[in-house]
Amino acid sequence: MRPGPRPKNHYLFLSYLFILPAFALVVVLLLVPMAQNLYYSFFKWDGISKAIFVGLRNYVAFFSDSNFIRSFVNTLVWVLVTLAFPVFGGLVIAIFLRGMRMADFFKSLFFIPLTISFVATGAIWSNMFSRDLGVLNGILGLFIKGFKLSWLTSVPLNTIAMLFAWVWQQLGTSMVLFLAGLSTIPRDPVEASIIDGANKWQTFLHVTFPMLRPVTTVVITMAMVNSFKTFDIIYVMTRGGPYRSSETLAVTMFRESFTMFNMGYGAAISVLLSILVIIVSVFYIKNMWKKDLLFY
Amino acid sequence: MKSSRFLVLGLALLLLAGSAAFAAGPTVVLMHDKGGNPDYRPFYEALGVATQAAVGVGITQTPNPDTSVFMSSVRAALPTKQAPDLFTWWSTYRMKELIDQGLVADLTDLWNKHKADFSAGVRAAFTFDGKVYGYPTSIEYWGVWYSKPTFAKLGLTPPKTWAEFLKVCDALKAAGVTPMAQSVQGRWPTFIMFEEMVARQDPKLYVDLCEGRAKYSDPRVKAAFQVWAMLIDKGYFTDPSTDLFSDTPRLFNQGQVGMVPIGSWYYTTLTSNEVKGEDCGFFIMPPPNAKAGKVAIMEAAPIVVAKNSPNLANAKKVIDWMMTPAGSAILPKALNQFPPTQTADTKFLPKVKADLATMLVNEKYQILNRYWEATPTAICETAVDKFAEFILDTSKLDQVLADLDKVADEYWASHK
Repeated sequence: MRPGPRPKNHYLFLSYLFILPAFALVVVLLLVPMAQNLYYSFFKWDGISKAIFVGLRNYVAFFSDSNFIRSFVNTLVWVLVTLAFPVFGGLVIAIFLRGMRMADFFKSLFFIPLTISFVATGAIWSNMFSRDLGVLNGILGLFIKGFKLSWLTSVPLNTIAMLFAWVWQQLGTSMVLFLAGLSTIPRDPVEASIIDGANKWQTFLHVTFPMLRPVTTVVITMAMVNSFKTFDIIYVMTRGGPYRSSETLAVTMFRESFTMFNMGYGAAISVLLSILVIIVSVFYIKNMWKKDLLFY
Repeated sequence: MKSSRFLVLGLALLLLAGSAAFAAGPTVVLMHDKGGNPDYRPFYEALGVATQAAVGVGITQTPNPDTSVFMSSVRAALPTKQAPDLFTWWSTYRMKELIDQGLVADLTDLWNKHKADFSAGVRAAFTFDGKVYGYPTSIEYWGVWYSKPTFAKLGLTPPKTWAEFLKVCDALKAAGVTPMAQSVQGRWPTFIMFEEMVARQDPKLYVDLCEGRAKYSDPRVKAAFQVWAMLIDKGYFTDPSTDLFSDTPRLFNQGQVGMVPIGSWYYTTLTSNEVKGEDCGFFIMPPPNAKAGKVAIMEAAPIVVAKNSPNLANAKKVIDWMMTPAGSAILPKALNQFPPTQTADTKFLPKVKADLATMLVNEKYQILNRYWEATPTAICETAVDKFAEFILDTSKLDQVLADLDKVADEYWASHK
């Protein structure tokens, strides 16, 4: 006798069973710590003594902290520069690489930095930016006599220098995603626009780019989220210094939590940072959705 | 049949594992932050072999490569039953916050037992309310490393007075050599010149300032900062972006930097960067105020016993042996550091460090604690950033001192 079709509930049960390990990990390693973090953001706690409930005082303290504005502005600068250079630059590179001779070589060239960790990138560029022994000052010194810049201790040059290292590494991510996006665009509409007399720029602007919007949304969202939480490269290159001048919100959060051991205050900063990232991302994606720009 | 064979094999393996564990004997866990750069793992392993042989208790390491992660891990573990038996830490105020929470085991009985082996200054750095906590594995002193070849080339000798010191700086600068290294990279190095200037202006003022009995805006503190500003403005220091670990040893070796004010442990940093040991000279910076007398700044690196240690008796057994002249020499010998005991053999020390130890004892130097440990962490962590602000722009002195007062006042108002 052949077995009959299995009941729908059986498959539903199996499906839940299969996602259970991953779900359990997410709950234990993400949701519980997030809830704990939110909880401690309402307490004054140094990590060892008894936590004291302070209500919203940690949040109020942050907004009245003079370092907050600097940290917030630095974070915005990181986000804007990330959108302007790695994202836009990645798009430009992806477009020019298509059909170019030695495209694979150049793709690899732009992709290699992505394989290096942020910490290693920070260490490499710290040496490059060294005032007395760095390659950069050495090369520039060949053209301008006595040229020596203190890249990592002059404000705001230090942030610009770190952004340069960041762009160098991040360019490959956008390039790869845009290349993948470009490869999915059908030839027909592009050819039709050329037959209709559109030049290359018009074809790109009115056909290729609109069809790239789903990928663009992913790239921009990822870039925004990553730049909002930038930490490692700054920690390695300047530790947010000198005198906290290059701190971003993530660095400030780390400093308060793990250097000053103001755990509650650090937790409050991380909650604010998360809210900021969620608001910006949701607003952006919703806006794209509303304008029907996520699909073509 | 097959299953019974597996059972026998399993039992045999269990017995083997059991006998291996029995042979290894009891161990205590040592949590430390020297698992990256510098990497002390081989030295702690050797220490474990030595303690195993001496008292039958070995050491299992839990190394951490990053200090911040290490500190938060230790703080999280100490109140629990999984507290590390032993952990490396810092003295005085860095240790006090753990003692105040009742997380550190009282070792007064061991200190009393080995009283004759330790100087009063070393014991004082670990004494809180009459009880002694932790055991310093090594002692280092802060002064100035100088390049012997560069000094010899310019006919210079280590300065004995402040006037001589300024002459040395002038001579080096005139010869195109940057007199001293100074850095804001990594944050903490900014306190080096601060403590040198204030402690050598007035040692009592330095202690009072660290312990909240004096203000940063005190005219004497300001005078110390002004001497520091004068040195900066005269161009006696490297650019503050010069890293003390990646850049300075190379510049020192190339004869581009003449002196490095830092701890005596920097000898290992220099020699591991191809500087010859015999090219390294060391002197204690002469005081700008002669009345300050002979002052040396000490840095003691302790191993601490957790009060909640699951193996408290064995942990104390290990420390008891480490406090003997033989035990106290194990780590210093491996690391070219000063043993914490007065009675330990110091023949292994490089000549320059042995001479320093002799000089400190013979010339009766007053020993002060390093700023990093001598003042509360909350003040120190903010202060190092403020010192950086001053180093980069000496005209901000008044603002920096006012900011430091604000931070210190806030702290002491709630901790006195």
